[in-house]
Amino acid sequence: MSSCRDWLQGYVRLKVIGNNTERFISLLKSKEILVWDLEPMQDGYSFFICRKHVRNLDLIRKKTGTKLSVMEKHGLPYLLFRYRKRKFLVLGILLCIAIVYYGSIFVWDIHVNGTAYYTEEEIQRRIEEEYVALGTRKKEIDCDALEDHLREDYPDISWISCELVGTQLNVVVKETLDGTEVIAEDEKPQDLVAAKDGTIVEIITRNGTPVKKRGDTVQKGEILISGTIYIYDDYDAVLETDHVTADGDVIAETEYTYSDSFELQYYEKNYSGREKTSVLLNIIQLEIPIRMPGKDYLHYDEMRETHTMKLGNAYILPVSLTILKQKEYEPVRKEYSKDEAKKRMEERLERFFNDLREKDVEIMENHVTISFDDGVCRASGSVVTWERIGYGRVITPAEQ
Amino acid sequence: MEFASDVTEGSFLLSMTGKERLWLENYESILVYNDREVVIMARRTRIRIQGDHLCIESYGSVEMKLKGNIDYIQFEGL
Repeated sequence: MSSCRDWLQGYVRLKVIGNNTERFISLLKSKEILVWDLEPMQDGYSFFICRKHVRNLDLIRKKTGTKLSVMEKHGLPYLLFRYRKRKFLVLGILLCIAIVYYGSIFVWDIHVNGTAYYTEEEIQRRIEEEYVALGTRKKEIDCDALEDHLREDYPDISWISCELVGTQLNVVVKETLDGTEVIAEDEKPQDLVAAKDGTIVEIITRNGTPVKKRGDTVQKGEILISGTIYIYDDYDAVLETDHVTADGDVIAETEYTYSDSFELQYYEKNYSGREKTSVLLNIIQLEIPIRMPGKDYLHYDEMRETHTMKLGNAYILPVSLTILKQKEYEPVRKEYSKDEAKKRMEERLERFFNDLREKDVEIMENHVTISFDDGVCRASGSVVTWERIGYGRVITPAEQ
Repeated sequence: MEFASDVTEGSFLLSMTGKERLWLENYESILVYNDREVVIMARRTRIRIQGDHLCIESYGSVEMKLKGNIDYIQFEGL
């Protein structure tokens, strides 16, 4: 801290030579002038002293008959003097610091992670469009309210955390379609409710009161295992009620409707090998072209790479550089044969099944059929599955 | 109630950390200073410090700090 203060006020390194250099140093003490890094030299002493004390040395110098010379100068006053003809440079630096400081009071980036079923871009777009636009002041953002909104918009998300770090809004989510993932928020009482419609195949209760049994048809939102438990007396009258965190496994038979289609005729991209690169500077929402070589190709793939300026890891600034690469291609018209189209459609269906399997959904029956008409290959039908459908819902005080 | 002698009599206060650093308060002046010997005048005492690479880190009206390889300190009463 004191070195920072010395730099701001300015300090010099002086050399004192003569016959009475020790007396000179002793007189510094009596005048209450602080010096530091006092070093003996061949013919005298050198020391550092604050700029403001330099003028007081004249009297001591005359008294002791010594000579003083300046060896070094340090600090802001000397820096400003050195650049006294560069006022705009200094102003520019100060303006830059002010802009960076002002920019840091807004949110310039929203980062979502932890998603599985929903894409990060989807949730990010939702937040930007409905709740927190880029450029919002940080103090206007209520993270708790945002968490509540996102929980309402995405009921499959069981846990959300929103945090402001620097100029970035970090959203961490945890999705679950798994009924065994009961979220106990500070041990609050919960019911286990159905996340979707289905017919119960198996129900195992670990905590709470089951209100449905095997074979029951349930609708989305219905309670499967209640968090309310009743304590009865010897006469089977309800003595008291208690509220617990319902826990259990509820597997139901559900149905997914599958529909997909594509045209038998398609265009294959035949790349010519020619490429073009453009560079754009983005400041907030403004795009300034820096390098734009000629007009675009007739048919091209475009890849966009954006590099955002940031200070450290969390201070993202609203300035970024976008590099656009265009790869030219010639579209060649082709057509799938029926066998090729069927195979392609089956691959797409298998990808759909794999997505379901990753979420612990068991495929029981496949009623999807593939047909051709009017140059289009279609697949439609239903898929019967077994899956866990319960999720925890907090019992509100009104319900209790 | 007793008062410390540095307050009442103006005695010097000397403290050290290892043999590399020395703090001295209530001194009057420097008599000799080079990288092997420093002689300081305190009230009624001359303090002789000998060693290697001696350097006065700071020198003020109240306190001075010395660093280096201190081998020997002698107090000469006046």
